[in-house]
Amino acid sequence: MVGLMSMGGNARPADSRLEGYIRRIAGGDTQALRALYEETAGAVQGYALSILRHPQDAEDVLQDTFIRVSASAAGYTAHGKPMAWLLTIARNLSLMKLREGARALPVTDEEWERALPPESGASPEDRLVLAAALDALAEEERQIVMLHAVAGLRHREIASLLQLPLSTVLSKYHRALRKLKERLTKEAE
Amino acid sequence: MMRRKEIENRLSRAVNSMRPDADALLSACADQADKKEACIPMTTQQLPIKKTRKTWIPITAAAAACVVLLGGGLGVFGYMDARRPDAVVGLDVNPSIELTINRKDKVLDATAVNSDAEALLDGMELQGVPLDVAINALIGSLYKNGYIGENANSVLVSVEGAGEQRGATLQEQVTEEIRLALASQSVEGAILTQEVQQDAELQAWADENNISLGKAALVRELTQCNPLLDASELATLSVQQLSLLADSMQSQLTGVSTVGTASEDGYIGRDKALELAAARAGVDAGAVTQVEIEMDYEDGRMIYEVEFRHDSHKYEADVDALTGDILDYEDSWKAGGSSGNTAGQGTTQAQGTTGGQTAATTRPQTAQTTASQNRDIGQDAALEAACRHAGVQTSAVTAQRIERDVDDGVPVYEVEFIAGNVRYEYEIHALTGAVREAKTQTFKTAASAAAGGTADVGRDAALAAALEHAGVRQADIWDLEVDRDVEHGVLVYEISFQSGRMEYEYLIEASTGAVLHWESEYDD
Repeated sequence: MVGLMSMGGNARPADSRLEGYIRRIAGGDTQALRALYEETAGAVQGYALSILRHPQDAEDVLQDTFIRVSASAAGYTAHGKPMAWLLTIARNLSLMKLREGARALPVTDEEWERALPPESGASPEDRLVLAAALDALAEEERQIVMLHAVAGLRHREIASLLQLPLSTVLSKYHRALRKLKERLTKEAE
Repeated sequence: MMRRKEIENRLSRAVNSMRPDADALLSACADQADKKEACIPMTTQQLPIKKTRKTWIPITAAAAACVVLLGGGLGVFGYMDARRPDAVVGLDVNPSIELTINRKDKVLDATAVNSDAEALLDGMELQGVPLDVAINALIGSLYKNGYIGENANSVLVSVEGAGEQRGATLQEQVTEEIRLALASQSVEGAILTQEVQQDAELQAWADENNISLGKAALVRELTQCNPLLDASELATLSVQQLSLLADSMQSQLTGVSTVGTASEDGYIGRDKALELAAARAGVDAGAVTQVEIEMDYEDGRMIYEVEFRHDSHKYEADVDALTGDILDYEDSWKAGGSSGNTAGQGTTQAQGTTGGQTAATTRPQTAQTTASQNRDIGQDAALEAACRHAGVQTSAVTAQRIERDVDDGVPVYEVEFIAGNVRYEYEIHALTGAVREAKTQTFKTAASAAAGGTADVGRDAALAAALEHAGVRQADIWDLEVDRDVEHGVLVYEISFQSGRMEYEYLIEASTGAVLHWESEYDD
């Protein structure tokens, strides 16, 4: 019998399936756009959030990213990296948003209330952990944590996307988690 | 204290609970449908704002100041007009030169943008010379100094500051001048031309990377069309290399026009790349179909991305454009896939398998069969089916990932494992055990490169090496994560765990068990 190794974070959708959606989107298939959105919106929004730190800004970028995807799906070259393509678009739009003037930080309680109302399915603890991650971590740490925990990317894939050595991604990831644990412990006290 | 997994899960749940409904998105996309673009917009991630453009604005300001000082009079205006900068023509080969010209195409100033250009311009008197004469002299000198030749035949021309119409005319004139000057040296040039705008952000990025504005604009154009290219890496490439990349994505480039083809004489060439890739696949290069070869830049190397089909296999290889080394190699096979028939299926599956295929693998694999067979074969059987197809013993592999998924309405297991120096990815029908997709990727281990072997000490030995290094016993650790991955073509184990109040992480080379990287920190 063969043992299964552990996989961190969220499982991510298969690349071949995502590329299939992108091909269909290029042909004007709105159902494929919906399917792509359903499977990747969390990853895109998580990544945008890690750059922008504001849920409403991240939501704007989420929408713009998919508008951009539907407009430029025809120009997508299949290299087996649809997620990297999607996230790069999200990153460019996030950085553009930052330059054009993002919303003021920190995020107010009302803004959190609007982003994650009680019926959204997220518990107050979930929100607390997210807010702590956005507040306590450095930019690269936020990106790495979101890409791993929310987007389900492997450390190697994160290294390639962010142009960092794998060892750096690993150590930053673990340092970030440690920071987050400390912050949450402090807040609980 | 919250565990790592719990934190990850909470983050994931929080973000996923935020996402708005798909309907709002779809209507927004429908509104934008008529604004389709070939490329995504400017890549901004590596273009921070630091400095502003230095050369162009001060010249104009100085000219304006002169008008005030010299006062009126027709003669003065004529004099001023001749001194007024009208456009900047940038030439990039490797030396990068900017020629400021007036409305009558006379050179007002020749600026060296890098040190090679300084040496080139030293002793050349270009001020007051007509633009065509200056271009001719520069191209001659570039050729004489070995910057341009058979192997490096590309010149980038960037026109800045002229209006649209004059800009287009200038581009045409300069291109023709360069083409003729090169032809007189028997070099068939590849001339890229573009219009560039004053752009403080781009200029700052160009300054930071020690390149001209024109080269920066070309890099930006390339990264817009292929976001996987890294702008700061491209900044280090020669104009010849950028020109080769531009050639391979020509249809997508909107801001750059090209005359001539970038020479690949310094590289092994496309035919050789295909021959090497076909040899690696064990097929005759003459018998392959749907060949696609493109030049690309990856991990600091120019490569040929070679793709072709043979039988129902699709092969992809990255071939080092200088050395011919196969850097990455993939063999994918899909049931009833590329060839569009299932007849080839048996033949293909017979390859690389030691025994015969089970009856299950030749059954039709449509969603309808799921109705009559609704028993899931389970993870173990899925792995066995994949191993049988791969021709490896299940005992010789470590499953890295087995996940149940649904693909096109068919329940499947996605199975990934490594055996030897090959990573396998399979899609196995979850009810019939049929192989729906197979993909192999070959990588090098340090040991295999040296000794031709494909050693892997295994998960346990890798963990033992980490524990020994950390000086802790396995019984005393928790939160253990072990992942096997490939870093720079080398198989490694990523291991992290906690012990006492310490957190440890290791990168262990799989072939030797050597500790490549480690870190430990006190967790307070």
